[in-house]
Amino acid sequence: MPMLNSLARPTVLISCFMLMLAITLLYLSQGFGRSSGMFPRFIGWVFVVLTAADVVVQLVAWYQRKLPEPTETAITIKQLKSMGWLLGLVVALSIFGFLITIPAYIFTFLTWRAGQEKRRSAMIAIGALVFVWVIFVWLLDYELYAGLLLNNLS
Amino acid sequence: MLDSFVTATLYLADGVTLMYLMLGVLVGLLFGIIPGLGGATAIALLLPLTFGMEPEQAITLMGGIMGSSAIGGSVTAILLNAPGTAPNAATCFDGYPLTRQGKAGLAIGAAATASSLGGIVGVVVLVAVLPMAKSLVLLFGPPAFFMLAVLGLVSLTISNNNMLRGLIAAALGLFIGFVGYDDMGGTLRFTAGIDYLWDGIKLVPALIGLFAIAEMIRLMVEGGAISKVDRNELGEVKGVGAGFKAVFKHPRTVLSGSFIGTLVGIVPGVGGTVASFLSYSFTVQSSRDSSQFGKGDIRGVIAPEAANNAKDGGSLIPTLAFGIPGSAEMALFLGVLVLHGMQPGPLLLIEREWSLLVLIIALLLATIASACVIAVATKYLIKITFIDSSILIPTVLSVALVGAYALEGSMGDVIMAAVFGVIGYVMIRLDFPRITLVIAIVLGGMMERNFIQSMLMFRSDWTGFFRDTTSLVIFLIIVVALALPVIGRIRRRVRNANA
Repeated sequence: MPMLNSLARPTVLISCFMLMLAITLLYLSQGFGRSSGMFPRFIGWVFVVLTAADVVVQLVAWYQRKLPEPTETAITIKQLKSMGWLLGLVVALSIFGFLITIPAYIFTFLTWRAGQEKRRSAMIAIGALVFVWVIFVWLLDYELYAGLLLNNLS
Repeated sequence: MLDSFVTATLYLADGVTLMYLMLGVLVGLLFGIIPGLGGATAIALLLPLTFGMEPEQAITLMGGIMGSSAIGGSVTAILLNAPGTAPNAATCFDGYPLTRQGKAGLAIGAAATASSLGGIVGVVVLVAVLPMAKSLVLLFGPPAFFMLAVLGLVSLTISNNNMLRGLIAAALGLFIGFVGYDDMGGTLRFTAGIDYLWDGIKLVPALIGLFAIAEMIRLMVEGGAISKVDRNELGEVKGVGAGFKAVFKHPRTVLSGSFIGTLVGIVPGVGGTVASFLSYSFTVQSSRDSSQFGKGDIRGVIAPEAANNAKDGGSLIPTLAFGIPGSAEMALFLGVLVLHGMQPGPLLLIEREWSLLVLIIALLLATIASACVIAVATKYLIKITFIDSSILIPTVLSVALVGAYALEGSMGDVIMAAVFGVIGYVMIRLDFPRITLVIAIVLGGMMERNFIQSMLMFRSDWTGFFRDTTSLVIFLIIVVALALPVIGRIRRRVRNANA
């Protein structure tokens, strides 16, 4: 069990995942016609060989105890939180649209996550909104997405 | 050629085009100064702004960025010992000691002037070589073009620390390029039943994600001020004019650096870091008195900076003539060209000569303009590196996603940019080079087209690739390029074991 645990290092797991992905893509490539599948099948075989070699390299490194130490839990949590902020932005953009989300997101990020003063945060948020509006709406004449909420209301 | 030159010059003399050039210069300088961002992030972020522009205006804007970001990176290398971009690392060796001696202005003046001169040499070589490249390109058939694309990908992975993962990223990039409706075979590939993917993975959201968003996630995780150096360590910036004069006292250093940079730039994948370090070590080795290198010798600033900027002209040669980008910046620039209906390759050289001259002149003007801006405004520009990154992150993320949306007014593109942002960050963490992935996405279509045409020519006999002389020669270069680092590693191990 300890051996299996130590084998389950992210680098080894990622290599195994990439090998599985390569095999899946090669398998899917077999279903395409002659012309459409010719190049994907060729690259698929190359991909499988490369990822298999990477798995071997990682296993050898694990055997020789040369693998990097796993990332600390605190950093992993930080990474997940950072991706959460990105996900939050995308979800908010889908629901409320750009012109509402951008200032709200920047203000929330600066006050909540970065601990900046509310007044300063509000100024930066408004500044960013003005920048986006002037460049994209006024100068380039793009119609920015209004969000599911406003689209449904109208 | 002369007609095209006049047309291009007149085009650039227009007020609006000049404004785009200056915008590119300022953005390039700012992104160059901020460690970790660089020209590629700037191009990714500004790419959506070019949708409504004329192709030549877009080229001018991008020329401004490319011509200035390298110079921007030297400022932090000299003042803070923190290179703005990787190629500026060699400038730290002598630039920072000069700052510690109170000669920051001398170093910055020399770096800006050497960069400009290097850029000019690179552009002159580009102008001289492009007409030759025209006839050379016409000798290449589909098998040779396919092999050339493979060479481009392979040489990019060689310059990476982890060659195997570089090749894996390239294979993954090619598969990403396969997604969508295949025009040649009339088949949907890897769309997983998602309608959005019928048109394939769009380049712009992918680039915005991989560069702009991934960098913001990295900054979010790392936190703190952009510069990791204490503000009190910032030296005084005086005597920029003396630096300007110092460059002209060392013409050999400028010329050798510029030619090394241009030559290295021509080889896809080798990049600015190798160019600047090679130029630095050449200058050290060829100097009669090398005792002051590393302690604040001005030649140690001139040599890498001249090479770093000269490589842009060199790396445009494979990008424009063959459609094989040699760096992340060039891959993004290729994306700009494709977005504006310009397919790099022989036809571009023949049909859009004046557009290319717009780029060349824009690059030239950008290097000179950025040197002037640096000389005048360094002490103000450097302050941006002390801003808390948390202010930059939400703003850049928002603008990046607006840019992704603006391409086709599709929220699918916003989601795609975010997905590629996460992929880009994971790649940074796991040592998978993003550049090979991007270049594989860009080259995928061209590679597949040439592969199928070749197989049709050879009646499905793949040995035909080795009967075509040009293709065989390139194949042998690929084998040598792959074998050399492996042989080098084995020799090092044997030497270590013996020791």
